[in-house]
Amino acid sequence: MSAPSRPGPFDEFPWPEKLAARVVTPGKDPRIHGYDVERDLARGYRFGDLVLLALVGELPSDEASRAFDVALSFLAPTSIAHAPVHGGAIARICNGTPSAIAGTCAVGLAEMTRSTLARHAAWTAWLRDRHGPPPPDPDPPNGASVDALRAAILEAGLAVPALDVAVSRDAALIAVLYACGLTDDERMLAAVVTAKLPVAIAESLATPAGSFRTYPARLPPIAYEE
Amino acid sequence: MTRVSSRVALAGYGDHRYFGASLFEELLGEETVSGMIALSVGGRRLDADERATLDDLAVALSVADPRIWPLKLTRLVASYGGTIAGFAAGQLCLEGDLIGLWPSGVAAANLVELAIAAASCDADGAPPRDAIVRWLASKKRLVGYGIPFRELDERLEALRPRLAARGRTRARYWRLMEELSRVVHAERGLRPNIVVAAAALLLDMGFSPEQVGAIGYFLNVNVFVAHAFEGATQRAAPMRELPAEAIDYVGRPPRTSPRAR
Repeated sequence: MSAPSRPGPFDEFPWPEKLAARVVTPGKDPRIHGYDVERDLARGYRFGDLVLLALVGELPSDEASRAFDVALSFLAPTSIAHAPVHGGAIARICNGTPSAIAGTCAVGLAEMTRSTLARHAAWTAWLRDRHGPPPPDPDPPNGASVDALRAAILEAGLAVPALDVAVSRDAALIAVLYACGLTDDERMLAAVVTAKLPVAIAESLATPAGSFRTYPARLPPIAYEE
Repeated sequence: MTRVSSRVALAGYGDHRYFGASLFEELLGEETVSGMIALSVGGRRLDADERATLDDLAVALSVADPRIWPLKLTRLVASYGGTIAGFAAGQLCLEGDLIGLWPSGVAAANLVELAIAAASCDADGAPPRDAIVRWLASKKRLVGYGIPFRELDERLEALRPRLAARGRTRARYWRLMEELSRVVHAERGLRPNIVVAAAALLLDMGFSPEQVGAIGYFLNVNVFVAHAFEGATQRAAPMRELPAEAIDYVGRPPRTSPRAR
């Protein structure tokens, strides 16, 4: 017979008694960073404004608001060719629950974005200190898409000087997000996932549940090696 | 399209391949769960004593108070009734270098680095302790050292005699870890925890630092399964939502936007 249980560190350490809330007020009449959501933000602002407010702590200027909406639209599409959506579709084929599909897409998109931001770390650092010439872009140029983004941001009215030297689509979008106030990778990642998640889930949900036989199992080719 | 290679497995008719072995003719009836974990990560089959050693480690790792942070996280998500969703959520926070057994890979890489540094110093005639002190000076934070809320890591203390009885505390990395621990305690006042011990043990079994992190992680999965299953079964209301009096709002005070009507 083993000894009876005794108190341990979780019983005896002087832990705080309350959980701290820092962005959203709990309970009825929720506020985000002090602004009433139901009577103020919901009536005067778009969802993108609310996202920026949550991540940055302040409401955006009109120009940043429009530019952020442009960026969200550019970021939204991720096709099934990409792992996060491909994974979401497989979750659907496996008859996964809606939360499993959403979770698969969310984790995959976060990982994809983390990888993208890591690839562009030198670019983000350059945006921060603007020291010397911009670093080489690790991604191939995408002139047409970057031109379309420049035109949309110009219409939004936000000055994003780095767009003049951005080469790839990802670098250009990072520059816009940075100019909107998302100056660190963590918050930038949150914004990108927010933009991409609904479309990724939609593509996954459009895949028939249980459609094992119509899924291309040999794509991409995988070779077993002993 | 570039072909992706895999050493893991091939599905056949009647039998399947798994890391170069027949699943039903060679592994079934022979392998254990810990042996399959080691095979899955390291790609080689363990002998009986190695499997028993991993079993000892897995048991020693099963400290599973529901208030331990990743386990609490698991229960929070599982409280809506999804065992696997809760389990999956609980895993994501482990891929760092702060908590759980995944950081044993970092600790293992440190021990390998130290072994190289100490070996080169030996060739110069300097005593290993000096080499350890010098190497330690280059490390601001040392994964595997420091034990919150108590003096010693009881998991390591309980495991050490079991490993000694198996002759594993005489192995190279275990001895290096013990020597490093003496230096770290003298220099920084920190004691070793189970993470660096697992790292030394698994390095001595021939696993690479990358494999060490993965095996350490998998050997601790049972505690997450336990909480995901119990949490999903309970569907406890206090886990889903804390009462208002339990929350302390410390953010911006109420304010009105320029567009407020």
